[in-house]
Amino acid sequence: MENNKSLLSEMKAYLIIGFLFILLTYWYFWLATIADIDYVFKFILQIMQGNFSGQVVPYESLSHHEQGVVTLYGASYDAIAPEVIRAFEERQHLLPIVFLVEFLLFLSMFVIAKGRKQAQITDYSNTVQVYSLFQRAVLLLNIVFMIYLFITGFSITFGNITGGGELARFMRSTHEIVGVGWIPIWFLITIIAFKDHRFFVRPSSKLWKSIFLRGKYKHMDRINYYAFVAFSTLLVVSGFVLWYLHPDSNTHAEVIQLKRLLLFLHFMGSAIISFFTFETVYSYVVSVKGYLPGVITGRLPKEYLEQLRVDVLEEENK
Amino acid sequence: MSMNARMKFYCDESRCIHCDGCSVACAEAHELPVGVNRRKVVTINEGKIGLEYSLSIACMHCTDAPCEEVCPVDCFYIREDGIVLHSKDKCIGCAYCLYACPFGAPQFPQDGAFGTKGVMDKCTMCAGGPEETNSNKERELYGQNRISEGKVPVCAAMCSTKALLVGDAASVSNIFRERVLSAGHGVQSAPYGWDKAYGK
Repeated sequence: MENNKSLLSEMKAYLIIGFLFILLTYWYFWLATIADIDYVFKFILQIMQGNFSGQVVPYESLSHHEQGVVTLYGASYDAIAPEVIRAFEERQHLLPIVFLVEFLLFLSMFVIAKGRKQAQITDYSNTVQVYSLFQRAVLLLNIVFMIYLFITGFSITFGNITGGGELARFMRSTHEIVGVGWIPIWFLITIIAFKDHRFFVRPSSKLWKSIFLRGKYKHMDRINYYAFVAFSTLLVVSGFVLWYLHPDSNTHAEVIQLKRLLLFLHFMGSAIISFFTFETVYSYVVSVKGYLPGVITGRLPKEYLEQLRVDVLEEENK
Repeated sequence: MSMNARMKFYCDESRCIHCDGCSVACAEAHELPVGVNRRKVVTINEGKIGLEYSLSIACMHCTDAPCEEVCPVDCFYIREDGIVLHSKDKCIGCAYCLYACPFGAPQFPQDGAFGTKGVMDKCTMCAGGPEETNSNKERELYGQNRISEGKVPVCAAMCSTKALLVGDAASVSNIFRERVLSAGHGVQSAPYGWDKAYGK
Protein backbone atom coordinates (compact mmCIF):
# COMPACT_ATOMS: atom_id res chain seq x y z
CA MET A 1 0.00 0.00 0.00
CA GLU A 2 2.79 2.38 0.96
CA ASN A 3 4.63 1.48 -2.26
CA ASN A 4 1.53 2.20 -4.33
CA LYS A 5 1.15 5.61 -2.67
CA SER A 6 4.77 6.44 -3.39
CA LEU A 7 4.43 5.37 -7.04
CA LEU A 8 1.28 7.48 -7.37
CA SER A 9 2.99 10.56 -6.00
CA GLU A 10 5.97 9.90 -8.30
CA MET A 11 3.69 9.62 -11.32
CA LYS A 12 1.85 12.78 -10.24
CA ALA A 13 5.14 14.68 -10.09
CA TYR A 14 6.10 13.51 -13.57
CA LEU A 15 2.68 14.37 -14.98
CA ILE A 16 2.90 17.90 -13.59
CA ILE A 17 6.43 18.38 -14.92
CA GLY A 18 5.42 16.81 -18.27
CA PHE A 19 2.45 19.15 -18.57
CA LEU A 20 4.61 22.17 -17.73
CA PHE A 21 7.14 21.01 -20.29
CA ILE A 22 4.46 20.71 -23.01
CA LEU A 23 3.35 24.26 -22.17
CA LEU A 24 6.97 25.44 -22.36
CA THR A 25 7.43 23.71 -25.73
CA TYR A 26 4.16 25.19 -27.00
CA TRP A 27 5.29 28.63 -25.88
CA TYR A 28 8.75 28.17 -27.40
CA PHE A 29 7.70 26.83 -30.79
CA TRP A 30 4.35 28.41 -31.48
CA LEU A 31 4.45 31.70 -29.65
CA ALA A 32 8.05 32.70 -29.12
CA THR A 33 9.43 31.87 -32.55
CA ILE A 34 8.59 33.35 -35.90
CA ALA A 35 9.85 30.33 -37.82
CA ASP A 36 7.17 28.64 -39.91
CA ILE A 37 6.50 25.74 -37.52
CA ASP A 38 4.31 23.92 -40.03
CA TYR A 39 7.25 23.99 -42.43
CA VAL A 40 9.68 22.90 -39.68
CA PHE A 41 7.55 19.81 -38.97
CA LYS A 42 7.25 18.95 -42.68
CA PHE A 43 10.99 19.38 -43.06
CA ILE A 44 11.76 17.11 -40.10
CA LEU A 45 9.41 14.45 -41.50
CA GLN A 46 11.14 14.75 -44.84
CA ILE A 47 14.57 14.35 -43.18
CA MET A 48 13.32 11.12 -41.61
CA GLN A 49 12.55 9.93 -45.13
CA GLY A 50 16.08 10.74 -46.24
CA ASN A 51 15.46 14.03 -48.06
CA PHE A 52 17.61 16.83 -46.62
CA SER A 53 16.95 19.55 -49.20
CA GLY A 54 14.19 21.38 -47.30
CA GLN A 55 12.06 21.51 -50.44
CA VAL A 56 8.80 20.26 -48.88
CA VAL A 57 6.64 20.66 -52.00
CA PRO A 58 7.52 18.92 -55.31
CA TYR A 59 10.06 20.90 -57.32
CA GLU A 60 7.96 20.41 -60.49
CA SER A 61 5.00 22.19 -58.91
CA LEU A 62 7.01 25.42 -58.62
CA SER A 63 6.90 28.21 -61.17
CA HIS A 64 9.85 28.83 -63.48
CA HIS A 65 10.99 31.69 -61.27
CA GLU A 66 10.55 29.72 -58.02
CA GLN A 67 12.56 26.81 -59.44
CA GLY A 68 15.37 29.25 -60.18
CA VAL A 69 15.29 30.65 -56.66
CA VAL A 70 15.37 27.18 -55.08
CA THR A 71 18.20 25.99 -57.33
CA LEU A 72 20.28 29.08 -56.73
CA TYR A 73 19.68 29.90 -53.10
CA GLY A 74 18.06 26.90 -51.40
CA ALA A 75 14.49 26.23 -50.30
CA SER A 76 12.07 28.44 -48.34
CA TYR A 77 14.33 31.20 -47.03
CA ASP A 78 11.38 32.83 -45.28
CA ALA A 79 10.53 29.71 -43.27
CA ILE A 80 13.49 29.56 -40.87
CA ALA A 81 16.00 32.29 -41.70
CA PRO A 82 13.95 35.16 -40.17
CA GLU A 83 13.86 33.23 -36.90
CA VAL A 84 17.63 32.75 -37.05
CA ILE A 85 18.08 36.46 -37.75
CA ARG A 86 15.70 37.51 -34.98
CA ALA A 87 17.21 35.09 -32.48
CA PHE A 88 20.65 36.73 -32.55
CA GLU A 89 19.44 40.16 -31.65
CA GLU A 90 17.06 38.92 -29.01
CA ARG A 91 19.41 36.35 -27.49
CA GLN A 92 21.91 39.11 -26.85
CA HIS A 93 19.28 41.27 -25.15
CA LEU A 94 16.79 38.85 -23.63
CA LEU A 95 19.00 36.03 -22.35
CA PRO A 96 20.35 38.02 -19.38
CA ILE A 97 16.72 38.61 -18.33
CA VAL A 98 15.94 34.89 -18.69
CA PHE A 99 18.97 34.01 -16.54
CA LEU A 100 17.96 36.62 -13.97
CA VAL A 101 14.48 35.06 -13.75
CA GLU A 102 16.05 31.59 -13.36
CA PHE A 103 18.37 32.91 -10.66
CA LEU A 104 15.43 34.47 -8.80
CA LEU A 105 13.55 31.18 -9.10
CA PHE A 106 16.43 29.26 -7.50
CA LEU A 107 16.84 31.98 -4.89
CA SER A 108 13.14 31.65 -3.98
CA MET A 109 13.53 27.87 -3.74
CA PHE A 110 16.56 28.40 -1.53
CA VAL A 111 14.69 30.80 0.77
CA ILE A 112 11.59 28.56 0.95
CA ALA A 113 13.81 25.57 1.83
CA LYS A 114 15.35 27.75 4.60
CA GLY A 115 18.90 27.59 3.29
CA ARG A 116 21.07 24.66 2.40
CA LYS A 117 21.33 21.28 4.00
CA GLN A 118 24.74 20.49 5.41
CA ALA A 119 26.23 17.37 6.88
CA GLN A 120 27.89 17.50 10.30
CA ILE A 121 31.17 15.71 9.74
CA THR A 122 33.35 14.92 12.76
CA ASP A 123 35.55 12.18 11.32
CA TYR A 124 37.00 12.93 7.90
CA SER A 125 39.23 9.85 7.99
CA ASN A 126 36.32 7.41 7.91
CA THR A 127 35.57 7.40 4.19
CA VAL A 128 33.84 5.20 1.66
CA GLN A 129 34.98 4.63 -1.93
CA VAL A 130 32.07 5.98 -3.99
CA TYR A 131 33.56 6.75 -7.40
CA SER A 132 35.89 4.52 -9.42
CA LEU A 133 38.78 6.03 -11.36
CA PHE A 134 36.83 5.63 -14.60
CA GLN A 135 33.78 7.39 -13.14
CA ARG A 136 35.88 10.23 -11.77
CA ALA A 137 37.60 10.71 -15.11
CA VAL A 138 34.27 10.84 -16.96
CA LEU A 139 32.61 13.13 -14.40
CA LEU A 140 35.49 15.59 -14.22
CA LEU A 141 36.03 15.65 -17.97
CA ASN A 142 32.31 16.23 -18.44
CA ILE A 143 32.37 19.14 -15.99
CA VAL A 144 35.42 20.70 -17.67
CA PHE A 145 34.03 20.21 -21.20
CA MET A 146 30.59 21.56 -20.34
CA ILE A 147 31.98 24.63 -18.59
CA TYR A 148 34.21 25.36 -21.58
CA LEU A 149 31.34 24.86 -24.04
CA PHE A 150 29.10 27.15 -21.97
CA ILE A 151 31.70 29.90 -21.84
CA THR A 152 32.68 29.69 -25.50
CA GLY A 153 29.05 29.31 -26.60
CA PHE A 154 28.15 32.46 -24.71
CA SER A 155 31.16 34.25 -26.19
CA ILE A 156 29.53 33.72 -29.61
CA THR A 157 26.04 34.63 -28.45
CA PHE A 158 27.20 37.70 -26.57
CA GLY A 159 29.53 38.89 -29.31
CA ASN A 160 28.44 42.46 -28.62
CA ILE A 161 30.29 42.19 -25.30
CA THR A 162 33.43 40.41 -26.57
CA GLY A 163 33.58 42.71 -29.59
CA GLY A 164 35.14 40.02 -31.79
CA GLY A 165 38.82 39.80 -32.60
CA GLU A 166 41.42 37.09 -32.19
CA LEU A 167 40.50 35.81 -28.71
CA ALA A 168 36.77 35.60 -29.53
CA ARG A 169 37.67 33.84 -32.80
CA PHE A 170 39.83 31.35 -30.91
CA MET A 171 36.97 30.67 -28.50
CA ARG A 172 34.55 30.16 -31.38
CA SER A 173 36.80 27.70 -33.18
CA THR A 174 37.62 25.78 -30.00
CA HIS A 175 33.89 25.65 -29.19
CA GLU A 176 33.56 23.49 -32.31
CA ILE A 177 36.57 21.28 -31.60
CA VAL A 178 35.88 20.86 -27.89
CA GLY A 179 32.25 20.12 -28.79
CA VAL A 180 33.42 17.28 -31.04
CA GLY A 181 35.75 16.10 -28.25
CA TRP A 182 32.81 16.13 -25.82
CA ILE A 183 30.91 13.50 -27.85
CA PRO A 184 32.61 10.42 -26.31
CA ILE A 185 32.44 11.96 -22.82
CA TRP A 186 28.76 12.82 -23.34
CA PHE A 187 28.13 9.25 -24.49
CA LEU A 188 29.85 7.79 -21.41
CA ILE A 189 28.17 10.14 -18.93
CA THR A 190 24.70 9.30 -20.30
CA ILE A 191 25.49 5.61 -19.70
CA ILE A 192 27.12 5.80 -16.27
CA ALA A 193 24.58 8.29 -14.87
CA PHE A 194 21.63 6.03 -15.70
CA LYS A 195 20.37 4.90 -12.30
CA ASP A 196 17.01 3.31 -13.11
CA HIS A 197 18.29 -0.26 -13.27
CA ARG A 198 15.70 -1.83 -11.03
CA PHE A 199 14.94 -4.53 -13.64
CA PHE A 200 18.54 -5.07 -14.71
CA VAL A 201 20.53 -8.19 -13.76
CA ARG A 202 23.97 -7.43 -12.34
CA PRO A 203 26.44 -10.07 -13.49
CA SER A 204 29.28 -8.64 -11.39
CA SER A 205 28.65 -6.20 -8.56
CA LYS A 206 32.24 -4.92 -8.58
CA LEU A 207 32.27 -4.26 -12.30
CA TRP A 208 28.79 -2.73 -12.12
CA LYS A 209 29.84 -0.28 -9.39
CA SER A 210 32.94 0.73 -11.28
CA ILE A 211 30.82 1.68 -14.31
CA PHE A 212 27.44 3.00 -13.09
CA LEU A 213 27.17 5.78 -10.53
CA ARG A 214 25.73 4.68 -7.22
CA GLY A 215 22.48 5.75 -5.61
CA LYS A 216 18.94 6.47 -6.75
CA TYR A 217 17.46 9.54 -8.39
CA LYS A 218 14.97 11.74 -6.60
CA HIS A 219 12.15 13.04 -8.80
CA MET A 220 13.74 16.28 -9.92
CA ASP A 221 17.17 14.68 -10.37
CA ARG A 222 15.60 12.04 -12.60
CA ILE A 223 13.95 14.75 -14.69
CA ASN A 224 17.29 16.58 -14.87
CA TYR A 225 18.99 13.40 -16.08
CA TYR A 226 16.46 12.64 -18.81
CA ALA A 227 16.34 16.28 -19.90
CA PHE A 228 20.15 16.21 -20.07
CA VAL A 229 20.06 13.08 -22.22
CA ALA A 230 17.38 14.48 -24.55
CA PHE A 231 18.79 17.95 -25.07
CA SER A 232 22.47 17.06 -25.01
CA THR A 233 21.72 14.53 -27.76
CA LEU A 234 20.08 17.32 -29.71
CA LEU A 235 23.07 19.58 -29.10
CA VAL A 236 25.67 16.96 -29.95
CA VAL A 237 23.97 15.80 -33.17
CA SER A 238 23.14 19.30 -34.39
CA GLY A 239 26.55 20.65 -33.36
CA PHE A 240 28.43 17.84 -35.05
CA VAL A 241 26.53 18.20 -38.33
CA LEU A 242 26.90 21.99 -38.24
CA TRP A 243 30.66 21.55 -37.83
CA TYR A 244 31.07 18.67 -40.27
CA LEU A 245 28.80 19.87 -43.06
CA HIS A 246 30.76 22.58 -44.77
CA PRO A 247 29.16 23.52 -48.08
CA ASP A 248 31.14 25.25 -50.78
CA SER A 249 29.58 27.72 -53.17
CA ASN A 250 28.38 24.94 -55.46
CA THR A 251 26.65 22.84 -52.79
CA HIS A 252 25.38 25.74 -50.70
CA ALA A 253 21.78 25.68 -51.98
CA GLU A 254 21.43 21.96 -51.26
CA VAL A 255 22.40 22.06 -47.59
CA ILE A 256 21.84 25.56 -46.25
CA GLN A 257 18.26 24.89 -45.17
CA LEU A 258 19.36 21.81 -43.21
CA LYS A 259 22.04 23.88 -41.49
CA ARG A 260 19.49 26.59 -40.66
CA LEU A 261 17.17 24.00 -39.11
CA LEU A 262 20.01 22.47 -37.11
CA LEU A 263 21.13 25.87 -35.86
CA PHE A 264 17.54 26.57 -34.81
CA LEU A 265 17.51 23.27 -32.88
CA HIS A 266 20.98 23.96 -31.44
CA PHE A 267 19.66 27.28 -30.05
CA MET A 268 16.63 25.56 -28.60
CA GLY A 269 18.72 22.76 -27.07
CA SER A 270 21.22 25.17 -25.52
CA ALA A 271 18.49 27.37 -24.03
CA ILE A 272 16.64 24.43 -22.45
CA ILE A 273 19.69 22.45 -21.29
CA SER A 274 20.95 25.59 -19.51
CA PHE A 275 17.95 25.49 -17.20
CA PHE A 276 18.37 21.81 -16.34
CA THR A 277 22.12 22.22 -15.87
CA PHE A 278 21.54 25.07 -13.45
CA GLU A 279 18.96 22.91 -11.68
CA THR A 280 21.49 20.06 -11.40
CA VAL A 281 24.15 22.37 -10.01
CA TYR A 282 21.59 23.84 -7.62
CA SER A 283 20.40 20.48 -6.30
CA TYR A 284 23.88 18.88 -5.95
CA VAL A 285 25.94 21.83 -4.79
CA VAL A 286 23.76 24.73 -3.59
CA SER A 287 20.61 23.40 -1.92
CA VAL A 288 22.60 20.55 -0.39
CA LYS A 289 26.23 21.32 0.38
CA GLY A 290 28.19 19.08 -1.96
CA TYR A 291 31.47 17.41 -1.14
CA LEU A 292 33.53 18.30 -4.17
CA PRO A 293 36.86 16.75 -3.04
CA GLY A 294 35.02 13.43 -3.21
CA VAL A 295 34.69 13.71 -6.99
CA ILE A 296 38.47 14.10 -7.23
CA THR A 297 39.60 11.52 -4.66
CA GLY A 298 36.67 9.16 -5.20
CA ARG A 299 36.10 8.85 -1.43
CA LEU A 300 33.39 10.55 0.65
CA PRO A 301 33.15 10.71 4.47
CA LYS A 302 30.82 8.04 5.81
CA GLU A 303 29.01 10.60 7.97
CA TYR A 304 28.28 12.71 4.91
CA LEU A 305 26.71 9.73 3.16
CA GLU A 306 24.73 8.70 6.23
CA GLN A 307 23.22 12.15 6.59
CA LEU A 308 22.73 13.25 2.98
CA ARG A 309 23.19 10.31 0.57
CA VAL A 310 21.72 7.25 2.21
CA ASP A 311 20.85 5.85 -1.22
CA VAL A 312 24.57 5.66 -2.06
CA LEU A 313 25.35 3.83 1.17
CA GLU A 314 22.54 1.34 0.50
CA GLU A 315 24.00 0.65 -2.90
CA GLU A 316 27.38 0.05 -1.30
CA ASN A 317 26.03 -2.93 0.59
CA LYS A 318 24.48 -4.61 -2.48
CA MET B 1 26.82 58.81 -59.66
CA SER B 2 24.01 60.53 -57.77
CA MET B 3 24.30 61.60 -54.12
CA ASN B 4 22.09 58.75 -52.98
CA ALA B 5 23.59 56.13 -55.23
CA ARG B 6 23.29 52.52 -54.17
CA MET B 7 25.74 50.27 -55.92
CA LYS B 8 24.16 47.09 -57.23
CA PHE B 9 24.96 44.07 -59.37
CA TYR B 10 22.53 42.76 -61.91
CA CYS B 11 23.02 39.70 -64.08
CA ASP B 12 21.05 39.66 -67.32
CA GLU B 13 20.03 36.02 -67.62
CA SER B 14 19.35 36.33 -71.36
CA ARG B 15 22.99 37.24 -71.95
CA CYS B 16 24.94 35.10 -69.49
CA ILE B 17 26.59 32.18 -71.29
CA HIS B 18 28.16 30.53 -68.22
CA CYS B 19 31.70 31.15 -69.40
CA ASP B 20 32.82 31.58 -65.74
CA GLY B 21 34.95 34.55 -66.84
CA CYS B 22 33.62 36.62 -63.94
CA SER B 23 34.37 34.07 -61.22
CA VAL B 24 37.82 33.27 -62.63
CA ALA B 25 38.67 36.96 -62.97
CA CYS B 26 37.52 37.58 -59.39
CA ALA B 27 39.56 34.70 -57.99
CA GLU B 28 42.64 35.78 -59.93
CA ALA B 29 42.37 39.50 -59.17
CA HIS B 30 41.90 38.99 -55.45
CA GLU B 31 44.19 35.94 -55.17
CA LEU B 32 41.50 33.92 -53.44
CA PRO B 33 42.44 30.62 -51.82
CA VAL B 34 41.08 27.38 -53.24
CA GLY B 35 37.57 26.71 -51.95
CA VAL B 36 36.61 30.37 -51.62
CA ASN B 37 34.40 31.61 -54.44
CA ARG B 38 33.24 35.16 -54.03
CA ARG B 39 31.32 34.80 -57.27
CA LYS B 40 29.80 31.73 -58.86
CA VAL B 41 27.86 31.00 -62.02
CA VAL B 42 24.90 28.66 -61.91
CA THR B 43 22.89 27.18 -64.77
CA ILE B 44 19.27 26.41 -64.07
CA ASN B 45 17.22 23.74 -65.87
CA GLU B 46 20.37 22.53 -67.56
CA GLY B 47 19.59 20.67 -70.80
CA LYS B 48 15.91 21.63 -70.83
CA ILE B 49 15.25 23.39 -74.12
CA GLY B 50 13.75 26.82 -73.69
CA LEU B 51 14.06 26.73 -69.90
CA GLU B 52 17.83 26.80 -69.47
CA TYR B 53 19.49 29.97 -68.28
CA SER B 54 22.59 30.97 -66.33
CA LEU B 55 23.23 33.55 -63.66
CA SER B 56 26.33 34.95 -62.04
CA ILE B 57 25.87 35.39 -58.29
CA ALA B 58 27.83 37.04 -55.52
CA CYS B 59 27.03 39.28 -52.58
CA MET B 60 24.08 41.44 -53.66
CA HIS B 61 25.07 44.27 -51.29
CA CYS B 62 21.54 44.35 -49.88
CA THR B 63 20.08 47.64 -48.70
CA ASP B 64 18.86 45.96 -45.48
CA ALA B 65 21.67 43.42 -45.35
CA PRO B 66 20.62 40.47 -43.10
CA CYS B 67 24.29 39.56 -42.58
CA GLU B 68 24.80 42.90 -40.89
CA GLU B 69 21.73 42.33 -38.71
CA VAL B 70 22.84 38.93 -37.40
CA CYS B 71 26.56 39.48 -36.93
CA PRO B 72 27.10 39.09 -33.17
CA VAL B 73 30.29 41.15 -33.22
CA ASP B 74 29.02 43.83 -35.65
CA CYS B 75 31.86 43.37 -38.10
CA PHE B 76 29.76 44.56 -41.09
CA TYR B 77 29.36 48.11 -42.23
CA ILE B 78 27.57 49.67 -45.18
CA ARG B 79 29.31 52.42 -47.08
CA GLU B 80 27.49 55.56 -48.20
CA ASP B 81 27.30 54.18 -51.72
CA GLY B 82 25.60 51.01 -50.43
CA ILE B 83 28.54 48.60 -50.67
CA VAL B 84 28.40 46.10 -47.80
CA LEU B 85 31.84 45.41 -46.34
CA HIS B 86 33.18 43.71 -43.24
CA SER B 87 36.21 43.70 -40.98
CA LYS B 88 38.17 40.46 -41.02
CA ASP B 89 39.98 41.50 -37.86
CA LYS B 90 36.70 41.57 -35.93
CA CYS B 91 35.02 38.57 -37.59
CA ILE B 92 35.01 35.43 -35.41
CA GLY B 93 33.95 33.06 -38.20
CA CYS B 94 30.71 31.97 -36.52
CA ALA B 95 28.96 31.74 -39.93
CA TYR B 96 25.74 33.34 -38.70
CA CYS B 97 25.88 35.57 -41.79
CA LEU B 98 25.89 32.45 -43.94
CA TYR B 99 22.61 31.28 -42.37
CA ALA B 100 21.03 34.68 -42.81
CA CYS B 101 22.22 35.44 -46.33
CA PRO B 102 19.54 34.63 -48.91
CA PHE B 103 22.21 34.31 -51.62
CA GLY B 104 24.89 32.17 -50.01
CA ALA B 105 27.49 34.88 -50.47
CA PRO B 106 29.65 34.46 -47.33
CA GLN B 107 32.54 32.07 -47.84
CA PHE B 108 34.63 30.35 -45.19
CA PRO B 109 38.05 28.86 -45.79
CA GLN B 110 38.64 25.63 -43.87
CA ASP B 111 42.08 26.66 -42.76
CA GLY B 112 41.78 26.12 -39.00
CA ALA B 113 42.92 23.17 -36.92
CA PHE B 114 40.91 19.99 -37.60
CA GLY B 115 39.23 21.69 -40.56
CA THR B 116 37.51 24.45 -38.61
CA LYS B 117 36.40 27.54 -40.44
CA GLY B 118 38.48 30.65 -40.76
CA VAL B 119 37.15 34.19 -40.99
CA MET B 120 34.48 35.06 -43.52
CA ASP B 121 35.30 36.21 -47.03
CA LYS B 122 32.85 37.70 -49.50
CA CYS B 123 32.53 39.93 -52.53
CA THR B 124 33.64 43.47 -51.69
CA MET B 125 32.52 44.83 -55.05
CA CYS B 126 36.26 45.44 -55.43
CA ALA B 127 36.08 48.11 -52.71
CA GLY B 128 38.55 46.62 -50.22
CA GLY B 129 37.89 46.80 -46.49
CA PRO B 130 38.18 49.04 -43.45
CA GLU B 131 41.98 49.21 -43.63
CA GLU B 132 43.81 52.11 -45.23
CA THR B 133 42.86 52.33 -48.91
CA ASN B 134 45.27 50.44 -51.18
CA SER B 135 47.51 49.51 -48.26
CA ASN B 136 49.28 46.16 -48.26
CA LYS B 137 47.09 44.91 -45.43
CA GLU B 138 43.92 45.81 -47.29
CA ARG B 139 45.13 44.04 -50.40
CA GLU B 140 46.21 41.00 -48.44
CA LEU B 141 42.90 40.65 -46.58
CA TYR B 142 40.34 41.82 -49.13
CA GLY B 143 42.06 41.88 -52.52
CA GLN B 144 42.09 44.75 -54.97
CA ASN B 145 40.37 48.07 -54.29
CA ARG B 146 39.39 49.00 -57.84
CA ILE B 147 36.54 51.28 -56.77
CA SER B 148 39.02 53.69 -55.14
CA GLU B 149 40.81 53.88 -58.50
CA GLY B 150 37.58 54.68 -60.31
CA LYS B 151 37.43 51.28 -61.97
CA VAL B 152 34.51 48.90 -62.43
CA PRO B 153 34.61 45.66 -60.37
CA VAL B 154 36.72 43.13 -62.21
CA CYS B 155 33.90 40.60 -62.75
CA ALA B 156 31.73 43.10 -64.64
CA ALA B 157 34.74 44.49 -66.49
CA MET B 158 35.62 40.99 -67.70
CA CYS B 159 32.09 39.93 -68.68
CA SER B 160 32.33 39.23 -72.41
CA THR B 161 28.60 39.48 -73.12
CA LYS B 162 28.04 42.35 -70.71
CA ALA B 163 25.47 40.25 -68.90
CA LEU B 164 26.85 41.38 -65.56
CA LEU B 165 25.95 44.98 -64.87
CA VAL B 166 27.22 46.99 -61.92
CA GLY B 167 26.78 50.54 -60.75
CA ASP B 168 24.19 52.86 -59.30
CA ALA B 169 20.89 50.97 -59.05
CA ALA B 170 19.06 53.59 -61.14
CA SER B 171 21.66 53.41 -63.92
CA VAL B 172 21.66 49.60 -63.94
CA SER B 173 17.87 49.67 -64.08
CA ASN B 174 17.93 52.11 -67.01
CA ILE B 175 20.40 49.97 -68.98
CA PHE B 176 18.30 46.87 -68.45
CA ARG B 177 15.10 48.73 -69.38
CA GLU B 178 16.70 49.89 -72.63
CA ARG B 179 17.78 46.34 -73.38
CA VAL B 180 14.26 45.02 -72.83
CA LEU B 181 12.71 47.74 -74.96
CA SER B 182 15.17 47.25 -77.79
CA ALA B 183 14.95 43.45 -77.76
CA GLY B 184 14.04 42.24 -81.22
CA HIS B 185 14.71 45.66 -82.81
CA GLY B 186 17.78 46.88 -84.64
CA VAL B 187 21.09 45.29 -85.44
CA GLN B 188 22.23 45.18 -81.84
CA SER B 189 19.81 42.42 -81.00
CA ALA B 190 21.14 40.04 -83.69
CA PRO B 191 24.48 38.26 -83.28
CA TYR B 192 27.36 39.32 -85.52
CA GLY B 193 27.04 37.80 -88.99
CA TRP B 194 23.43 36.74 -88.51
CA ASP B 195 22.09 39.03 -91.31
CA LYS B 196 24.70 37.73 -93.78
CA ALA B 197 23.89 34.11 -93.04
CA TYR B 198 20.16 34.28 -92.73
CA GLY B 199 19.07 37.70 -93.96
CA LYS B 200 17.26 40.29 -91.85
